Amino acid sequence: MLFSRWKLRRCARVGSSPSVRGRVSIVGPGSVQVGDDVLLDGAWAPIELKTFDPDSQIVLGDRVRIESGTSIEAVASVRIGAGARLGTFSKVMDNHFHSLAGDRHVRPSSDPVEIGEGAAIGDRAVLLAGANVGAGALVRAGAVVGRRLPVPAGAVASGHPSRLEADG
Amino acid sequence: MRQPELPHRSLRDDPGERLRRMVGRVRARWLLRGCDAGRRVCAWRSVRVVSEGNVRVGDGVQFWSGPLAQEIVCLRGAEVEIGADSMLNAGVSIRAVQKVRIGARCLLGALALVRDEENGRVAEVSIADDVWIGHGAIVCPGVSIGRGSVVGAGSVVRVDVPASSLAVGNPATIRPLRTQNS
Repeated sequence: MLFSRWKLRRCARVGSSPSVRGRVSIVGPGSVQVGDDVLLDGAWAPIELKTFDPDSQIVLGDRVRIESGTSIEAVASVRIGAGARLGTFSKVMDNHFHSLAGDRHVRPSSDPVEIGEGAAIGDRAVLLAGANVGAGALVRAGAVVGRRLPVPAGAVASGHPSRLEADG
Repeated sequence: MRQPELPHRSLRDDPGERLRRMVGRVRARWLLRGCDAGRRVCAWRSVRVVSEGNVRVGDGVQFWSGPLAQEIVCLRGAEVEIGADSMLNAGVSIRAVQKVRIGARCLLGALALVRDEENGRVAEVSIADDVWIGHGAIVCPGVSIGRGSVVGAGSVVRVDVPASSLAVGNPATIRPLRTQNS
């Protein structure tokens, strides 16, 4: 466990009993805050938590579980609520980094991402800038969710283009 | 071409960055020794290269750093071409058994895949200049993507994409790229 804490040495704040397997790459001038009992399992493929500006924030709530290969990029803010889970090779970004029109290298504005308590993000899902996933919601594997589709609490989002599955 | 202010490189303070870039250029020369590589190619971290065929990497191409290395696999008799100043983010994978061509100034998002073979079907892939392939997207055999187009993150492109278009979804559907940001 002490080794876990050392792997998280670049975090601004680390709660109690963190558990880190494999490699976690914490990069950038911003702040990464990790709650209590967080599990980061990078044993298969490294996990990347990347900030871009001094006031960028990544906040992982208590009991968050993040699987191998996940990459979180925050220019403004990515907040992950308590107990949420991110599957392998999932991607969360609050900025698209390139512009659709004009000079591709102009960085567009950021749109913070919120993942609610107990939500689950499937393997290889992508949360784009402005994504909002409610408490207890599920984003299925491979789905791509952005600001166009806020996922209400308890709902299920899947597909690409993503849509909310009907109650059942 | 002027070096753009890139988000990933704005992380780094200058003195270290210049050194890392120099190291990256030396690393690229070594990793791409079996290829026809241009000037100022930079490998910020590792790149897996299998160049049994003919691999051409244009001037100023950059392989960004990240948790997973890029790979270029060009089998015997095949051709891979990557145009000048294109940028390949971490984990990008290009595999050619016949021909894959990528134009200049393209952006390939992390974990994007470009393939000219799927389940025995072989057909060359051609990506024009100034194309942006989003995170995790997959470009399938036989696809041609026109100049300036954008493939959305996570999309799987199975049909041709005209110039200045946006391809989104699995399978990707095409619409014109509007001039304002959407």
